Amino acid sequence: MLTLVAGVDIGNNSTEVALAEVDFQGGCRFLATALVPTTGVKGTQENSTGVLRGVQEALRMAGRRLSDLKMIYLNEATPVITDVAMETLTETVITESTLIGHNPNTPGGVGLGLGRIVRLERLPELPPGDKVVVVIGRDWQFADAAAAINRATDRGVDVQGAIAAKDDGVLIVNRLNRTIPVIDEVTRIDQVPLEVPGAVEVAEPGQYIRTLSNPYGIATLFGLTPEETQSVVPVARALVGNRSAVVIKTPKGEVKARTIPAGTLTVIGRNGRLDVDVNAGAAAIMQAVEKLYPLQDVVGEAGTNVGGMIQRVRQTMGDLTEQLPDQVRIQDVLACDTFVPVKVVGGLAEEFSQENAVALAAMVSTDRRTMQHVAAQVEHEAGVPTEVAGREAEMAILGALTTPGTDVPVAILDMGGGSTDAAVMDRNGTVKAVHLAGAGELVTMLINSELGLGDRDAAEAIKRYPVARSESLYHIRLEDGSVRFFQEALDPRLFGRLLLITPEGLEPLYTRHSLDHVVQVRRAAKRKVFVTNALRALRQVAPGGNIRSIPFVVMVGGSALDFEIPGMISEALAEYGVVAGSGNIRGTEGPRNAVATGIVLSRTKGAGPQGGR
Amino acid sequence: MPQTLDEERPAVVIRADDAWRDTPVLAELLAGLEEEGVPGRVDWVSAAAPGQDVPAAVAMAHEAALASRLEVGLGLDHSGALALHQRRQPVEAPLMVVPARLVDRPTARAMGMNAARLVKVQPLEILGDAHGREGP
Repeated sequence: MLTLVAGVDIGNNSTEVALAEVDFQGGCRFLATALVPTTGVKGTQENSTGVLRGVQEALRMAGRRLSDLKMIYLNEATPVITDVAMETLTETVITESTLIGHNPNTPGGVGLGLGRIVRLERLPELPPGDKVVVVIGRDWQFADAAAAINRATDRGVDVQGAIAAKDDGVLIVNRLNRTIPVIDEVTRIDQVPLEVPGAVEVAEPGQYIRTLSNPYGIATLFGLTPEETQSVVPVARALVGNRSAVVIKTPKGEVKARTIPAGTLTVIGRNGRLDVDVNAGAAAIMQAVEKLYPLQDVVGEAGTNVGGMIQRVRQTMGDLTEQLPDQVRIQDVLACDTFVPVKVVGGLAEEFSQENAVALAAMVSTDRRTMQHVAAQVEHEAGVPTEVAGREAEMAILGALTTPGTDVPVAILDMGGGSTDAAVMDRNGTVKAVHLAGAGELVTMLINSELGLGDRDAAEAIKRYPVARSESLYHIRLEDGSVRFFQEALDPRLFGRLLLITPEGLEPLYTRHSLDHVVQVRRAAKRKVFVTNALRALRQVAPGGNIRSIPFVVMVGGSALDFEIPGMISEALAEYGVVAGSGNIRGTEGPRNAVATGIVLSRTKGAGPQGGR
Repeated sequence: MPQTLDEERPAVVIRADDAWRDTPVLAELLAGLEEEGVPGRVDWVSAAAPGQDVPAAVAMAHEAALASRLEVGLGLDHSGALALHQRRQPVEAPLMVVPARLVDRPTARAMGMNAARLVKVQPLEILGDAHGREGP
């Protein structure tokens, strides 16, 4: 007799349903598949709303009713939760504003000027021969400002350069009798210190400044002692790659590049513990993790940045699992080196400096009973008997094995938002699974910080979609170099910008980064997280830690749908002679629905893994 | 200067109504082009013929774009309305139009800059939109 059952997989983001008729003797016919957003946090009773919605949708597609349904099987949630955190390791602080190193779109003039800083209003009072750099406030019109400078230079005042509030550097310089470098768009012009020596440098278009980005260049201009020269290194460093800059020498002013004491991370395994200085970078942390695996906990040194970061992770995890932060045991971390453009403290024109940072994903085990609550709630609301089926990893493998061309031993890689999960099934049907910290969320965080977007949604979109650049009103160049033409002109909002090619159409990216840079950051972030974790995970589930002993690797889950992650992993695994690719569940579903399908298959012949063939 | 030589020089063309000679608005349009480093040229029109289906500024901007070797034109009609156009666009589809009541000096400067950026293929400043400028 055929029985109508539903296998349901509640994920962090989506809930998947496989509806099938089974005879409990190995026979199974799939009728419909549904995909709906997960309601509430995975593992909470709010999930039942989404489960019901998905089940109803599948029933409707199959032309069945809820009363026909005899059984609902839920996944036993991957027993981990994850969190991500990032901490900057260095910091640039300007005290008493000594540098303006910004790249206005169109600075004026070209060259290097050095002089005492005075307001433009004071020029008529100055004696001939006085070497000055003038500050042009917001109230000045460009023509009047240029005339004032010309009058002064005609009298013999040596105006060496200018710092302007508005975007009119080119306009001012075009009206001068003698070209001087002019930095414009300096937002906090009132805070430029006066009556102190200042240097202004503007490079030719397409060039970078040379003198102010060189510590000895600054030392030469201001006659610095060797000690003082050491203290300007951060200034020079912050100006590298700029087309224009101002450096001002104030009596007490200084720029400090501080290395923030990042602290020590203590990795605790069953057979010992290792202290790692976080300033040593991600590689050192990951080496310790590898050495001590499986981990029992990870602790951050109290009172340091890493201490604070780990504490925040514990707090979040504790809130989710209803534990005290001290009771939370971190079972895996993935550390990545990264950098963050940080607005310089005390800067005058919204300068940014690239600071080193470390990003960390952490994972803790959770109470396995949570899905029982969800099952009870679903049963109550649907009026259909509901059970929690076997381990999610086993179910995923059973589902993955329905991919044409696969065979045991097989491993799956399930790369979702929070964790990277891997499982391997040997010829006897024995399954070994592992859950690692770090997946899509970490990639999004890296993209967001490295591009300085300050916009998680934009970072998420960059992760998902290829990028292009508008090259005229009628065509865009895609990141692979190909060109797409349009019948109608692009929206002026999109013109001249980087664009994301989304299913809804072209979306503008509000950034000044180049297309190549965005692509490079995106790919590097994906490699840092997914390729690293794929190898880490497979080593742990492979017999003897030997990836070569797994002939087939099937990628499932959200990240297997990504346009480039499966390719990156296939490439990395090809070195090991492994066949790796995105799953195609039941030959029709792509990398989706593996767990839901596996749950149904596991019920066709009673319990226990039987292989999908 | 012989007019033919002037017309051969690549420039963004501004077709402006005679009424706007020596006005701050016209000066700001030219300043916007100049700050962005793109040459501009003014073609004066007396008593602009009203466009058939489009506002005069739009028709003038399109004519200007046709006359521009950079294929970009600005129109400033008698009423003071401003339009930005590109040669290959249909007349009725200008890139930007600013009604006369909204035209002030900063707007005129921004429109001049936008004409230049249209030539340079750089992001336009959408009037009334915060996304004109970006961070790093």
